[in-house]
Amino acid sequence: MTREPNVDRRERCVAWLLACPIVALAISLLTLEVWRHVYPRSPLFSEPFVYSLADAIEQGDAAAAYGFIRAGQDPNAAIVVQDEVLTGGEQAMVPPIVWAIANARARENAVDVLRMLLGHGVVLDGARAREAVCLAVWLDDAPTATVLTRELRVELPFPCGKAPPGRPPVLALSSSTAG
Amino acid sequence: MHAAVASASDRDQHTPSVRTVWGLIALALVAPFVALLSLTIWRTPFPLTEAVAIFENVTTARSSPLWPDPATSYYRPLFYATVDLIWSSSSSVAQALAWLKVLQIAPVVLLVGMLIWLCRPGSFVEAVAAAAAVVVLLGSPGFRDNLELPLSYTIVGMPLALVAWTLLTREWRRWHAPMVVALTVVATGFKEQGLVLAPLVVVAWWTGAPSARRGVAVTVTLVAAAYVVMRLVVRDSATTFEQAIGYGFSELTPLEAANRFGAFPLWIFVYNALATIGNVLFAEPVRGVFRITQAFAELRPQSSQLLQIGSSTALTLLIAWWGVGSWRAVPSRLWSPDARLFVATGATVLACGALSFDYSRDRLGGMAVPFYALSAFHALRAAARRLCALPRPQYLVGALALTLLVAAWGTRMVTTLEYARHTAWINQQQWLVLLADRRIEFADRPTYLQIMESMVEQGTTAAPVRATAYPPWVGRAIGQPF
Repeated sequence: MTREPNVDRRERCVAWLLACPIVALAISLLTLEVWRHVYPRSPLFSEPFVYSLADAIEQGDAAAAYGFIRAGQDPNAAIVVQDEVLTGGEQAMVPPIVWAIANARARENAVDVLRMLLGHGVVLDGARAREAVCLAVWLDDAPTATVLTRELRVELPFPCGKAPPGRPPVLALSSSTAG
Repeated sequence: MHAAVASASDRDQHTPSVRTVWGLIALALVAPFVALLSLTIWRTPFPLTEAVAIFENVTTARSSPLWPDPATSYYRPLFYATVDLIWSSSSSVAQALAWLKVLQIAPVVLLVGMLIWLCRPGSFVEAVAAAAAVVVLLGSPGFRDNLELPLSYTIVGMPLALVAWTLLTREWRRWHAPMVVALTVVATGFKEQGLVLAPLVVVAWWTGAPSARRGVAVTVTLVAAAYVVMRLVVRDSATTFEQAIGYGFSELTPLEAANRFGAFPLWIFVYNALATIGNVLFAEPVRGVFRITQAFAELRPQSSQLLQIGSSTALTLLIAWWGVGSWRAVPSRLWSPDARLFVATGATVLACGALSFDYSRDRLGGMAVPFYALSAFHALRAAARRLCALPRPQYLVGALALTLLVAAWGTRMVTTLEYARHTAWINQQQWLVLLADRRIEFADRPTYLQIMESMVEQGTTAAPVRATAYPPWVGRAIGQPF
């Protein structure tokens, strides 16, 4: 003699089973949201923390870099930078746009920071604009030079000459006059 | 198989108050997802690339008597009229943008509410099946691809289609027919995908839905036919293909496609239609490209692709099992509500395919998704009941399989949420990165520049919820990076 299945009980079991993934996902997402609210700087919810505009430019983080400008930092004022290759290990004061150009080849998103600076307050007159293009040329970064030529409305052609010998181009920039 | 198909009388045994309670439980199960998704959209900046041009259009072109121009390929008169109304009647840009976000979020909430209400759950298993139907809705690519601000064309039409279906299948009232015609006009006015309502009404009439009389079927058909004829007559486009089309394992630009298929484009039109249908039913192809198939062929499928194609195929098969069973159970000349819904779902899927003949995109299947989700509710419910009568081993295997199916769709719903967050981040990046470029490119369009500058604040200061950086194995399951 075979026992008839208890259909009501089985139906409840199936219902609980089907509810499990939905409830688990709901609880997981709500927990994550509480966590996000309590620890917004957690690596789960934010990019790595940046300490300065120079740091944000190096990281290629346009949103973080914009955060400094929005908080009141002058995008044209020189910032302190230091890098083994780009500044030869020396500390130097350079405009943010120069640091963005210098880092453009190193990081895929660095051109985004460059574009952000150009759209949000960086002002370069004719000579400084040409210097900026020349820096990209000296750093052998044709895509960045193209972006700068277009967005700074630099008239072509103009001679950049050779990169000043002996010093990293970023440091040599102020002492070199393009064109 | 027929035993699995619940009859209408079987479902009517529950009192309205019982249905309300179980409906609220179903709603509670999915409320966190809906709330998080709505919040994400609310905090999403409008994109620079699409939104500014649309607002420029409504600002500069509204004085034209023919605006919006029916000759354009993207003729959405009621969408533009709604945007125009909001844009011109708001006291500030911020207020206008807030209302436009409401226009995007409200249909999502209405869609979920309508879906649960149409499921009318009367027991625990039905409440869970209704919640699972919402999960299917939110996890579908056809839904996900229609969340982009401010392009509310289809997301407005989706709940309207469910409202029309509700009216058609309820006891006849004098106002039902004009209301259904009005809903068809509104949905079509937002985007031509609203024409899906025409076959829906015809199916309702053909299957004897209580409020679908011949008059409404004829009227809606005439409205749809007049719209199609008008578009074909006044269309002013020299190109055969408006956008890039997927073909096999690659994508062709409009020019490449014209060179390849221009002389006889019928084949590629059929391909595009089938691609959209395939995307709704099987999650493949995407934009007409068989990406998942290619990944399998090259032995590099990702877990998210397995989940997408597996869950879609399994659910489509389950719906087919339920639908064919309910169809076979129909006595001659009579249609059960389940069989009617099954045919309506098929009709909406086919109509979405037909309307995407020029190019296939996930969003073009959107109008069929609510009906696919509604059918999923009935199929899951029928399968759960059928399982309970099986011998214990089959019962256990079947219950586990259904659970895995719901879990797979659950991950796809998380994909939707994280994709919406990713889109919010992309939109903000546009405002940060593209501004200088746009000032140069659109220097000769002062209205564009004025609107753009007025929106910089919302684009740069909004704090969109960032996509969660899950552990790699979770990221792979939901398809990150997008």
